[in-house]
Amino acid sequence: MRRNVTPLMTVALASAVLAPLTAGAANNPSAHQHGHAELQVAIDANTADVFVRSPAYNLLGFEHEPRTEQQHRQLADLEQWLMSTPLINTEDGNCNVEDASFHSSWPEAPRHHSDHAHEHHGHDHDHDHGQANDHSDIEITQSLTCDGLAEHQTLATPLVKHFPALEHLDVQWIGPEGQGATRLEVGDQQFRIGR
Amino acid sequence: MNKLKLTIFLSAASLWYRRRVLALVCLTLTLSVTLLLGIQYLRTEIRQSFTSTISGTDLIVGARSGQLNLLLYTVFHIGDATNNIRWSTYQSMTEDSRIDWLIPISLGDSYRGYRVVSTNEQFLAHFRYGNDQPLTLASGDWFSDLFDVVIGAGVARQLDHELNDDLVLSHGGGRTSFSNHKDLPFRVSGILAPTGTPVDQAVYISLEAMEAMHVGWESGVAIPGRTLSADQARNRDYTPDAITAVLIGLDRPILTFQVQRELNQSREEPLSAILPGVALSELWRMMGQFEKALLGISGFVVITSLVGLIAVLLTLQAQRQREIAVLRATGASPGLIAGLYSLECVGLALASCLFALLLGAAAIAGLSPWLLEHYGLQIRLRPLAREEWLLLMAVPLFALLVSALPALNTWRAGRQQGFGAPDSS
Repeated sequence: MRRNVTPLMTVALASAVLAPLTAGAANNPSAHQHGHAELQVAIDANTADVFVRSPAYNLLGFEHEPRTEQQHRQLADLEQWLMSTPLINTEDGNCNVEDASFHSSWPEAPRHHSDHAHEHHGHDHDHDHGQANDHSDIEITQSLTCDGLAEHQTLATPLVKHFPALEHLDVQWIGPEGQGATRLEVGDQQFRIGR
Repeated sequence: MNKLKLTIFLSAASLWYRRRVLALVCLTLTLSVTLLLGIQYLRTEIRQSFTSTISGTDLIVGARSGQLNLLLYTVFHIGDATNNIRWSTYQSMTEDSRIDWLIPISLGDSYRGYRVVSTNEQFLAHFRYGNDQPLTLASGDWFSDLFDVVIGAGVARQLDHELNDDLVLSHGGGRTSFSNHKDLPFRVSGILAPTGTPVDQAVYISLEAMEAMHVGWESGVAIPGRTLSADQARNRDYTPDAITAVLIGLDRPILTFQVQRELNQSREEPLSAILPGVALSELWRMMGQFEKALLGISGFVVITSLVGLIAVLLTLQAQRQREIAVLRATGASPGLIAGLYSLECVGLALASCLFALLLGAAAIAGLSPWLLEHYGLQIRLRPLAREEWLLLMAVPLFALLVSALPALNTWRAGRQQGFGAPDSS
C-alpha cells in the first residue's frame, strides 16, 4: 500500500510526542512554566499587534505582588520599559509603540486600590492572593506601526536579551505570508517570518 | 594577455587530448554534485511539501486536546479524536461576524482503510493547500445526492475506482471491519485531482450521509429492522448532534489570535482552537533531527566528492609528467604550467556543475508527475535557493584550491628541473 510516504512517516515519528496546550482554558488553569514565555505577533501591512504572556518570575524575579519599596520600583521600571519599547522590531529599528497595555494576574497593591483588595476578604477562601506560593503571569499587549514592515522577513525581539531569566520564548506569528512559529533560546534575538 | 590566450589554448588542447579519461572524471564529479544538490533540494522540498499540507485555514477547532493531536487527526488523518464538539457550538460559530467561512468535519468511519471525512460543499470551496491552491475535481462533481461520495486521487488510484462505482463504507476505522454499511451503498460522484497531501487519501461524504448511515445503529452494530433503506433515508432530515472539528477562515486574519483566545476560553464547551501553521512549524521543529540527519548526509557527500576530486587530480598529474616535460622543454614557464593545472580543474568543476544542474532539472521534471502519482510527494521544479547556489559555487572554488596542490608541485619541480643548466638531471 503506497501512501503519502514522507509526510506520514515524519508525522508518525512526532505523534509520539505530546504537545502542551498552548492557550488558557475556561476551566483549566493555564500552564505556568518559569523560564518560558509566549510571544504572539499579528502583522497586517504596516501595523503589528504584539501579545506577550510570561510568568512574572521571568521578568521581575518574584511572583507575588510587590511588597518592598525596591520591588515597587522594579515593577514600575518594568512597566515603563514594556510600555515604551517595541517588543518586536525590524532590522532598521523603525517600529513605534502606538498603544500598549500591561496586566499582571495578582491583585494590585492595596495602597493603590484599597477597595479592590478589600473585595477579596468577602470570599469564602481566606488565603492571600499575594502569597509567594501563588503563581502569577504578566501579559503585555502592544500595537506597533513600522514603516515598510511588509518588506521585512526578519524581525527581532529584545525580550530574551533583556530578561536573562527567560530561557525559551515561543514565537507565533500570523501575517500576509501565513502562519508560523519558532522558538528563541538564550542569545537569539531574530526570527524569520514567512514559510 | 597573450599569455592568457596561450594558457587557454594549451589547456583546451590538453583537455581534448585526454578527453576519454576526463569524460569519466567529469561524470564522477557530475554525479557527486547532483547527489549533493539533490539532497539539499529534497530537504527543502520535503519541508515545503510538509508545511503546505494546509494553507489559508486560520484556525482548526476541536474538542479540548493538544494542538498536535488536533492537527494530526484533522489534517493528516493520523490518530483519533477523543471527543466531539456540539452542533450548537458550530452553529454559534457560524453567527460570528469575524468568521468568513467554516468547514465542518466529522470523522469515524472508513473505507477499506481510508478515512471517511464527512463534510459539506464548503470543503471544496475553501480548503486550500500548497501555495493557496484550491481543490479541483479531476472528474465528476462534488456530492449532491445523500449517497454520493467523492474520493481522493490516491484512493481512486489504489483501488481502481471510477465514476459511478458503488462503495460500501465500514463502520469505524481499520482496514478490515466486520460492520459494514452494506444496506446503503454509495456512488462515486467525483474524483479529486491529486494534491500530494493527505486529501488524496480520504473519501468524502456529506454530514447528512454520515447521520443517515448510523440511523438504527446501537453500540456499533446495526439493529435489524431499524436501519433505513436508501429511499427512506432520502426522505428524512438530518441534523448532526456533534461534529469532530471545524476549519475556520477569518475575514481579517490579524484577528486570529483574538478569536483563538475566545474559543479556547469558551464557557459553552471546552474547545481547542489551534493555528495550523503554528502547529505545523512546531511539528517540523520536533522533527528537526530528521532534517539534521539529511544535512549530515549532505555533508558526507560533499567530503566524499571532494576527496574523490583530489584523488582524481593527483592521478591526472601523474599521467601528465611527460606532457609537462615537453611543455617545459618548449619554453613554457613554471607559472604557465601551474596555471594550466588550475584552469583545467576549475573548468572541469564548472562543467560538472552545469551538467549536474541539467541532470537534476531533467530528473525532477521527469520524475515529479510520477512521484506525485505514485507516492503523493510533490516535488516542484523551482529556481535554486541562495544556499544551493552557494553550495554549487563552492565546488569550482574548492577545485581551484585543490588544484593549487599539484600546480604548486609542478611549479616547484619545473623550477628545479632547470633545462638550461648543464648539471640538471
